Amino acid sequence: MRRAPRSIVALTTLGFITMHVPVLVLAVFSFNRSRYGASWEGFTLDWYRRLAERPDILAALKVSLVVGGLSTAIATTIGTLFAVGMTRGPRRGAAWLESLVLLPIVTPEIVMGIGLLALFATLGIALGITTIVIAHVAFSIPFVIVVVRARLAGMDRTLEEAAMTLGATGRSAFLKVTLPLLWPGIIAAALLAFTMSIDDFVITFFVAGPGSSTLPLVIYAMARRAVEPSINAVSTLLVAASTLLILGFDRLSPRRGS
Amino acid sequence: MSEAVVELQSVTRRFGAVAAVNDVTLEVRRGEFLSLLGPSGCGKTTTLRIIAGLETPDAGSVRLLGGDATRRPAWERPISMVFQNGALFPHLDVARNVAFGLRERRRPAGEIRERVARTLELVRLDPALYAGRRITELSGGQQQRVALARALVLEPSILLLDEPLGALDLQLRKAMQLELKELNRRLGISFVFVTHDQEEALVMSDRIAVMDQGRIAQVGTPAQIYERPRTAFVAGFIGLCNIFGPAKGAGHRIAVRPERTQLHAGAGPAGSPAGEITDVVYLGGTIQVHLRLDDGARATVQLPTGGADQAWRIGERASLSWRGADAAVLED
Amino acid sequence: MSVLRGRWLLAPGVFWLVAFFAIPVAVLAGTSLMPRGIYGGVTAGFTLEHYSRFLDPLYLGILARTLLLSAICTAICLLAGYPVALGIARSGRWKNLLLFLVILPLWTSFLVRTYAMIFLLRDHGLINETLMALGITSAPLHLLYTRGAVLAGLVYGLLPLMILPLYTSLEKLDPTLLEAAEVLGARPLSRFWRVILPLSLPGTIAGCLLVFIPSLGAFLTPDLLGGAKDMMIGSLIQNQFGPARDWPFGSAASVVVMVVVLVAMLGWLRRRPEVL
Repeated sequence: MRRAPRSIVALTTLGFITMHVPVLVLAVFSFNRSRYGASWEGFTLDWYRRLAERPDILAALKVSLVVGGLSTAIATTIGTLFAVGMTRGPRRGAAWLESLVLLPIVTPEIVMGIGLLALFATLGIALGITTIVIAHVAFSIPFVIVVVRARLAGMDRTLEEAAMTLGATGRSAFLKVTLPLLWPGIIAAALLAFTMSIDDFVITFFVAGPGSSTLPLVIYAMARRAVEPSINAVSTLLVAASTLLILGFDRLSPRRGS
Repeated sequence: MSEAVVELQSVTRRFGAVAAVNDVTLEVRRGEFLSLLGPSGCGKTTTLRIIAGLETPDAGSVRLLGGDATRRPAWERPISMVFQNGALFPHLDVARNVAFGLRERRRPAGEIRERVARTLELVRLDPALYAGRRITELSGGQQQRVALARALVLEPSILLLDEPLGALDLQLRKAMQLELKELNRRLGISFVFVTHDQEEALVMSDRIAVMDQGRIAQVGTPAQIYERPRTAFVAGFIGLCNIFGPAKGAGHRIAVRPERTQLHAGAGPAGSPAGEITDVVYLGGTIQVHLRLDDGARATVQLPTGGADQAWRIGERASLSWRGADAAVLED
Repeated sequence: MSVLRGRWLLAPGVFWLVAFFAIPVAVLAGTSLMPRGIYGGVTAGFTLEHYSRFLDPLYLGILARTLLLSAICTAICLLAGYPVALGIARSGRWKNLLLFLVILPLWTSFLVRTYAMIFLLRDHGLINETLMALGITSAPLHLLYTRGAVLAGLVYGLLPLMILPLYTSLEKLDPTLLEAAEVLGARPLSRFWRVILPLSLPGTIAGCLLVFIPSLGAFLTPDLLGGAKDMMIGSLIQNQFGPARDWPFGSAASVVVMVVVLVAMLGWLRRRPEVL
């Protein structure tokens, strides 16, 4: 493949600057001593220290972690079973299943959020951690399925068949051959689901109840009131967490286009 | 007929530290079928791509139809090219693939239609049947024909072919070899044909340029290349060849084809190579007798069957001789 | 094997997606057809009044503005994303790193990224302070709470969704096709129009949809970056379920959004079922 012309390299660089500089600036200024304005007045960790003294942020962190953990566990289990089922299920109804997986991915979040809100209201279910977990599982499952299926697609079905010719039952061939090979994909899917859960704002906004605010909800409330460095600090922590999780996800995913 | 349409003058192309093409000087004459022959990695494809303008030489010059073209881009050269796997555009049907270059040259629609149909017929694809086909609906052989039509429709002065038959099965390959040769004769276009298959090169070419490690080892007619190889590499790459060391320390090594080598039972005249028969292989029309000579070298003799004058046995001693006219003196 | 084969594996997933995706959307559709109750909920009955109310120029204006902003955002993302995708496809050994840098913003909080835009664009934000420090402007420009800010926020947030499918298409493109076009007489620009662009069309369409759809439903971006006059349909919906307390009307508006999305999706799904 030929090298890209200089103009393309320049535009590509510009694109990456656009995609990354705003958050980098945000992170840099979370270490700024100045409370107002955009002038740099020296390095400090004060804003991070202050976060630890705020009960609302600590409570929200706890809610985020509980919701993230629960919804990741449920969505990864259900999604993995679904992905495996799709590869060995009957061809009949496959198109229908594809749509069921695809539509939630492309539906605007706000539609899913108010839909769930309307459902919970109709059923008389009180909003709280339970409803947030239900919603997060619902939007994570399709992504888990996509990731695990990608891993399954790259796997050789004959391995399992070979195990069976060697005397393994279907179940034991799955558990001893397919599942171990599938693990990296499952972990990757779980990392993705956890990231989506701790980052989600729109859907959570509609299905959270009093006392069940997640970190993004607290950040939103703070951001609507005023711009202050502690928002930068908590935002930086959230971005750092997602970056680490996605780094892990990227390592475990099959390399695109190679 | 000896006017040169392609002239490469001391062309060199390096990739990193490796010179893929090293000081190559070569002429392609008007209307001739020239093959670039050599093992993979010898620089034959890079040479072809330099003629095409897809690679720029680091040193040397390229002249096409008498004019300097060293820095001229591919799209301004009087060439067309058939790629190894066709490189057909998957988003265009057969007719649009063939018409691609004509539309690039802004020919009128009527002319394009007429020339596309004519060229499809030329490569023996019925336009009524194939013009609207998608590329994915074609067999490998049909795809190669479309690729050929796409190049020929431009009526180039020079047609470059990069192992165009490599992906085809043997039957189809043989048929296409003869068709290509026939097209070359009929259209008067110069063909530069890259192949690693020596038999293919012998069958099709007016001249063959044998390449080895980025250099041209020898250029000549198939008969010259076969009968008078100039280096051990050429002798060994094309057909089987016996190579005998210089007699009594002086002079050059010589090469003699197995079918021009005579085999005698027992010891021959003084100084003639002798050794032990290691294998006798019956090939139908001929018998191959393999020997290990006393100096450790190996040799093969090919004899016609049916003579029945002698039954050769493994383990017996034999000696070799040849006519002076059948021996090629090697330069290396 | 029977436990592992087929239905039982699919059952929990089907249940969850039907119960917490399909049914909620159906509930919305139902709500949009029922009369409004006293406290914003619904009462039994059937009515099309919420849809006819949508024909009010005020709401049609919001819909039109949303479609326009989404279209402009999609166009900007396409123009900005195409060279980036091409650049990544030809970046050789940097490819994996660059791809990671495209994926990363997709999975970092959209809220945080929107807040980062506030931080840059506000009156005493980095852009204004820099402009003033350099003496280019003497007073802060009002960048925040404008339509331009909404557009910038959407483009910033959604650009990776354009780049990824474009890259996938361009990466699959066999470079010898470009060489074939070259020896057939095509100049660089012509090679782009006649070979690269048509072959990357699936990626272009996918990218445009992936950007257009979320920008249609955006509510966080106009809410945080836009002014009062920049309401998009997402904010309208949110408003009905929040302060305005008119769930049936909010449901009708979201059904309208869903219909636009489905129409766009159906046209595309017929051609290419693979996403992401």
